[in-house]
Amino acid sequence: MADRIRLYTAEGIVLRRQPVGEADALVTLLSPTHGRFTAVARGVRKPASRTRGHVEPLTHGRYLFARGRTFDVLTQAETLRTFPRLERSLLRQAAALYTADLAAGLAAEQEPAPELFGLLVSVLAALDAGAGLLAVRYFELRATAEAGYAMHLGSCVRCGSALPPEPAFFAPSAGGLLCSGCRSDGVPGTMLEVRVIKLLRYGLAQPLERFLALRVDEATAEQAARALRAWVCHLLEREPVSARYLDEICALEARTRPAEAVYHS
Amino acid sequence: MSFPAQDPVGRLIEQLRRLPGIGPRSAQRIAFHLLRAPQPEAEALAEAIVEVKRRVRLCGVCFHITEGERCRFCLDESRDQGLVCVVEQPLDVFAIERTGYRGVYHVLHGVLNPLEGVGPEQLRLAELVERVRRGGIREVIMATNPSLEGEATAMYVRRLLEPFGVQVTRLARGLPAGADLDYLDDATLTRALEGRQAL
Ligand SMILES: [Zn+2]
Ligand SMILES: [Zn+2]
Repeated sequence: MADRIRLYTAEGIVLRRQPVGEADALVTLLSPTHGRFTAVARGVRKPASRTRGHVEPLTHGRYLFARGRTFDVLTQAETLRTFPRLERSLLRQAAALYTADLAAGLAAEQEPAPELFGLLVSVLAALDAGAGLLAVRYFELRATAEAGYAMHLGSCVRCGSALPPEPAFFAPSAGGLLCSGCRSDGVPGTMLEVRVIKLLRYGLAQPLERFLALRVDEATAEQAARALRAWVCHLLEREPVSARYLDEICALEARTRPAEAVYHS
Repeated sequence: MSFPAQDPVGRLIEQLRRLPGIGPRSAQRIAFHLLRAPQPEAEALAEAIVEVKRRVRLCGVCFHITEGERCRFCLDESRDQGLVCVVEQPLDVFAIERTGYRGVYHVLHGVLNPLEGVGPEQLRLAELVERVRRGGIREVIMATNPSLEGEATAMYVRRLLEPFGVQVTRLARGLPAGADLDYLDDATLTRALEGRQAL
């Protein structure tokens, strides 16, 4: 009975592709309409496969799926967009994979995620066009906000009092900044410089292009990176798998290139 | 149906399940096939496994599989020892051999896979750098798969080898994206090898 074969199409970005069996792969996508979901792509590791090139991680495509018992089965694929220049930069590729990894961690399964999807596409496009690590900071800030956890930076997250323009304590477990009165000993967190707080606030409020146009000094960028990593790890209750790789590539780049080139375009 | 883990059949299923590409159902199917198989057939399999683990090891230079200290490629003086083809796995060595390649190899035993947490330290990368540092190598051909992970690995190796002034090349573009090298036909692979370009 034809109507029992349930087919549906979904646009999406491939976040992960894991080999299974002889020549199959499990493909995890982020789709604006279906959120994060995993389907099986049969025979994609054979050279004759027509689907193979469309299920590489970081490919933006349109896919046709058939409902399956454990996993839905990817039956047709069409690439809408790739980010080809990522393959020419170790750093930007590592950054792009980290954002995909983070998207996979933050997206809810089978729940429409048009904003997160749009954010991922624009950050990948920016990296492809040559943006540096600031694009990753933007993604961390905004993707966590889209997932329902915007960093609370405007006032003390506990008592609501205004924060004076001086360094403040950021406690991931509290959800944001704490004033000196609310900060109890033993709460894990870190002091953030005013410049860092301003940078983070700017990222939460401004569009990507504006954020990328900022010139940020190395110390500020480093402190923002550490705060956002702590934030992400707190929310995911683990470190993103690809974080170590990104850190390693950053360290390799930092040894051989000026910091300017790492954070900016 | 599941067998208790201490049961001999349960133990066999458990061991089979650890093999790549074998799920619980396949593990059961293979276990019952072996149960029904004639004694010599099952014993031949068991012996082959023991034998391979006892006698085969990795070449001390290139990490290809070998029975001696060094593999036959590293020992062969008629081969160009200054030309090193870097591959993901031993199977790829056999694929490259079919193209008539006359250099030597370096087997990484994997590929950088940031999304699965496979980093540089899990591959034979430090050994490659050491090999190049010792000198005598003119060109390193990155023959990792034409996949995202393969490209990442190729770029990473190029960066690692930058200080040594060795030429790093990559198999020609145009290989089908995402394909496994050992699935490619010889003609395609030969063309890719001949058309290699500086990275
Ligand atoms: Zn307070
Ligand atoms: Zn060898």
